[in-house]
Amino acid sequence: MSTRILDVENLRMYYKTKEGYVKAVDNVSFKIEKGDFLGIAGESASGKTSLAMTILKLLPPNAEIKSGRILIDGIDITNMKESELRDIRWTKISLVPQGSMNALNPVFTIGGQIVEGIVEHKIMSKKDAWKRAEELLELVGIDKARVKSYPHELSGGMKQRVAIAMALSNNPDVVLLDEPTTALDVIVQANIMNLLRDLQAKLKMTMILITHDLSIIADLCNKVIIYYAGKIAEMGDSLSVYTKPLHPYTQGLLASFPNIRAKRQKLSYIPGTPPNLVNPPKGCRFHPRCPFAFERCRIEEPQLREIEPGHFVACHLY
Amino acid sequence: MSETIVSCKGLKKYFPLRRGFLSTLFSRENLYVRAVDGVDLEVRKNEIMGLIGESGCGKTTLGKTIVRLLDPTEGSILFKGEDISKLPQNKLIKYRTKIQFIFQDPYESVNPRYTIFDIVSEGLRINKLASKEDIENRVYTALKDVRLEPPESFYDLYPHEVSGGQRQRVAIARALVLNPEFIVADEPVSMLDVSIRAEVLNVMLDLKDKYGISFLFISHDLATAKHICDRIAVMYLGKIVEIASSEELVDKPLHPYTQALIAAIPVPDPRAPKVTVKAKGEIPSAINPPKGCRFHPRCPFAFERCRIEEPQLREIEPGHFVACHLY
Amino acid sequence: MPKRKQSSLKTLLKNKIGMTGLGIIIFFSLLAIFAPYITWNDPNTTFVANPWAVPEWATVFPPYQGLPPNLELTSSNIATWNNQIASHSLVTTSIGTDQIPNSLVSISRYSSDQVSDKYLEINASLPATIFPQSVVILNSSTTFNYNYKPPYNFYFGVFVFPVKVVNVTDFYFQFMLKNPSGKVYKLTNYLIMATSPQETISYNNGLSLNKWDAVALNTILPDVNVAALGPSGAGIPNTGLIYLNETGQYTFTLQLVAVTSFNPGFLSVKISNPYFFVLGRAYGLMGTDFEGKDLWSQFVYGSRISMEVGILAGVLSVLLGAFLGLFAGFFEGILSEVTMRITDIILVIPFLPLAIVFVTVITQNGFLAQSIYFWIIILFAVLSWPGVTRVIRSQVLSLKQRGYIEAARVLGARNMYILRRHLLPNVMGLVYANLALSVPGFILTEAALDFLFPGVSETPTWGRMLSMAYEHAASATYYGYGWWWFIFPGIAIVILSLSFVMLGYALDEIFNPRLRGR
Repeated sequence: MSTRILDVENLRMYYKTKEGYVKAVDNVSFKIEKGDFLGIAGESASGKTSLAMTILKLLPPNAEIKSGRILIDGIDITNMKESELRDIRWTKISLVPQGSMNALNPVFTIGGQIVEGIVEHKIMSKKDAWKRAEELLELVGIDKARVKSYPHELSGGMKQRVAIAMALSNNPDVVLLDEPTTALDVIVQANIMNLLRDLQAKLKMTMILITHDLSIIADLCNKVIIYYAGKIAEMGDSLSVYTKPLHPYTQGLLASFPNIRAKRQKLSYIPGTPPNLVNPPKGCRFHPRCPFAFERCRIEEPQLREIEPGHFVACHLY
Repeated sequence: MSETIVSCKGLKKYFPLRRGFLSTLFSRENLYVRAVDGVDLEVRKNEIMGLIGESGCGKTTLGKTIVRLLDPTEGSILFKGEDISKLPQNKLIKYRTKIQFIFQDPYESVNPRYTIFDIVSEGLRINKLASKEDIENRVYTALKDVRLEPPESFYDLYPHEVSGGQRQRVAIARALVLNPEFIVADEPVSMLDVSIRAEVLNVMLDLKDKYGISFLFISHDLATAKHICDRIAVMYLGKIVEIASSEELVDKPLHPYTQALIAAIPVPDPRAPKVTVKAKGEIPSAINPPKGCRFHPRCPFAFERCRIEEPQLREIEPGHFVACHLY
Repeated sequence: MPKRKQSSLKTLLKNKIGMTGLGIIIFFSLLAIFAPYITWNDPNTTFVANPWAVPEWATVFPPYQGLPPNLELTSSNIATWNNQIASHSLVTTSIGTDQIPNSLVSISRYSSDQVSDKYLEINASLPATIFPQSVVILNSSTTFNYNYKPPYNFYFGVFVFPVKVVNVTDFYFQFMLKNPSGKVYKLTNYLIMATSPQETISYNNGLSLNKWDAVALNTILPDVNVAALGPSGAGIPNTGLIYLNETGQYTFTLQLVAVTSFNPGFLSVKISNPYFFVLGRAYGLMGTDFEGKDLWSQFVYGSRISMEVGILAGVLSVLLGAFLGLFAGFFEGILSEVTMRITDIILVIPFLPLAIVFVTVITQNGFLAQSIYFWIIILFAVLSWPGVTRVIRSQVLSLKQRGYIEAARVLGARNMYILRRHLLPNVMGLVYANLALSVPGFILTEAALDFLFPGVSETPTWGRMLSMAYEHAASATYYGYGWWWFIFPGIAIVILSLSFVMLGYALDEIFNPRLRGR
């Protein structure tokens, strides 16, 4: 039996800039169940990081939530005060931000930095917190003796593990990982991927992985959201999305992904460039790049509809 | 067998380690980063040679040394049989147009103050290679060749007015306008979105077919390299560990490092086997590389000999070279 | 399509702060360039008005209401005066025209439009007397209205041309002033007219035949010492305060007195229009200093030095600094290393103390002191380039890492090409910004040096104005603290420096992509 852990309804979040509103999250709805491993795939500047930050309500001052609701474990956090949110963020949902491995403070030990996070939330005493830090390091595959190490004594992969350990320190229900393997070498990336797979299985945790790399999602996630220009283009079980991609964008993206196991072939690409989120194209946002676009795509914005059980797509073709 | 256009033998590039004034005073030992440490490599005419490695393995340094953006510490670089490794910069000028380089970052590698016409024509102006009308014709052709069409609509645009993929193609056109015979492309698509990478890569393939230009394609992405390159060389810590045709290298890797790399690459298919890790730890520092085989501390198959003796690159099967004591 | 990149100039034109700064700089530049055309006096001419005269516009404020400006009180021609001829002598008069030499006119403060070429010629036959007798030959008078507060000082006099002097012991002039109450003052009383060379100027004592000459008298000259003691001087009643202390109609009289001799005499003299000139207690745009020098003129000419020293020192130091910075950054080697060590050395030298010592030394040498500002500019440039060098060098070091520099190398570009076409355009913005930001420092330091060494040259500068105002602060207490003396140069230094800073920041914002607003 699965229970709903995160429910996002009609969420809109715009950034106010000189040029106008940047529609980074535009009418996004999705739900995930406990124990899901959701991948959110999108190109750079598609707004996928903004989506994560909106779910956590970690937004810069020029961001405005225009509409929608965010329910975490049934609790509506959309209009919650910052002080209440701080607890939610650690006990219910936590984040491994992009580049967090390089955000470690070089003058403190990694243990100290983990402890600081725990103590700040007044969950346990300092002594217990150190014990917990050692546990966490072991959990992410680092020898607990390294609790007194400084960040520069660790390799890139180990620093990323520390960043993950910090997010896990209070047993959150949901962990959001924003590009956790970018800038890591493939072997180290495989290491981290295996760690995430193990953690999810061991802790029965819900994880959301945000990345531009479809192959990582294919390897790890059971559900996937294809995000394009501030909107969900396609959403569903990984297997059905990857084997039967419906949206032309998903199809193009998968075709342009080099597969090392495939036969040597000329790679394909999606012509054009992702749209500017201040003035996205009318109708379907993908239509200027879509090989199947017809009149209706230019006028009417397609809604996300369930075409097959559990497989949603926003496209007029279906 | 087709003829060789560029080859290097025993090429080394060491960077002296910059240390504080006091430590230089009190320590006689000079420390070096051995970025490229004895590389033999050969690029044939009309071929795309892949150079694959993790960050810090020295692949970019090797590429820059081959085009003499960096002066080699030791070894030779032969361009069509002539050694250019020791030519002073002023004598190098005539090779400049023949050997070109494409940089990783299309945002950085073009001067933001120049229009695209000025960027593409710069090489012609510097080398005074063409008259005014001729410059325009050649810029036109080069932009057309990199599929920036119609070319004249791009002349007066500034780099920030075009997309990243277009900018990288501008950088290719800038090299192409000089009619080069050999281009080193340093991670030319790593900064671009996956959906548009192939657009740039296909331009490279076109140029190879149309003009017979040879490429050294430097990348960390073996999956892309498999589809683009004719042959692939795998580099680890300043050394080439394996060279083979791209299909053979991926399908029948011999070196444990190549095997580990391939096993770690995820596939965009949920049904495919999951990634596995076949190497311990991470790439060590190039200041004090491990003795013997440089990969031995991470290698699951390492034995005594690996710790002592450095393996040489040997041809195990026709056209398949590997530097490993297992074979 | 993204918006086209605007040219730097257009961006600057849109930058309000930058344009304000530029506007102020242009204003002061115009002042400096057109100084001779917008001032009415040489900045070093004393007594253009009374010392400590307030700005003329200040008379609208109550404390200064009714203060007299510079006044020419007798403006009509001598021919129209009430000329009474002595009855006991044979006297005839006639009117002629002649050119009175300009040198006389300027000595006498007789303003040029008052110079009348018309003169009155007096021919008098004098009787023979046993003892010399004074005979008033001509009694000439005119009236004027005076409607101001009393002045401190005034000038008066007449131009004389002796034509023929036969058997005349002597002749001289007497001046009288009758105030509205009817009291008559003889204006030759030396007790009051202390500084006039003598009681009267007589023929035997100063005039010569067939030559125009001035009989010029004035009240106590408000010299430094007297002025320092305040309006009433060292116990000597101030002439102007006594003679012109009423408003209404005054009568000014000139008498020609001849002294007879043993033989019948004949006297022929031409006299011009007599003048009566009140030294204003309110003058010009910015009043006067303790010597009656025109402060507006000093202010305008002072802007020349401030702009000159500021801009030239700025240009010199930034050019030198940018040049060295460009090369030290681009060619890393022993020369670059030496350059950077020199910058270290110069940067630790305390600027102001060295400048003070330097100026002290220069002022000891009369020859060098003449071109003091040239040396100050050189000193500023020599001491200030290292800062610019460091900024430009670090910029070049970072630019050098840019892909497009390496890309140009691959294309076969030589060093000079890369320097000229890729690096220079990218550091020019920084150069402009540095220039604008270094100028105010030089303006302020120059003002400080002038303040400390006011007597170095005759050139008026803002710093020197402040210094002099400070030096005479004690006597300034009698004159409303002489606010008009220090406020204008003080504000000008601040505003001009600020305007360069504003322009500098605007340029920095335009050329420095990190500060460019999104």
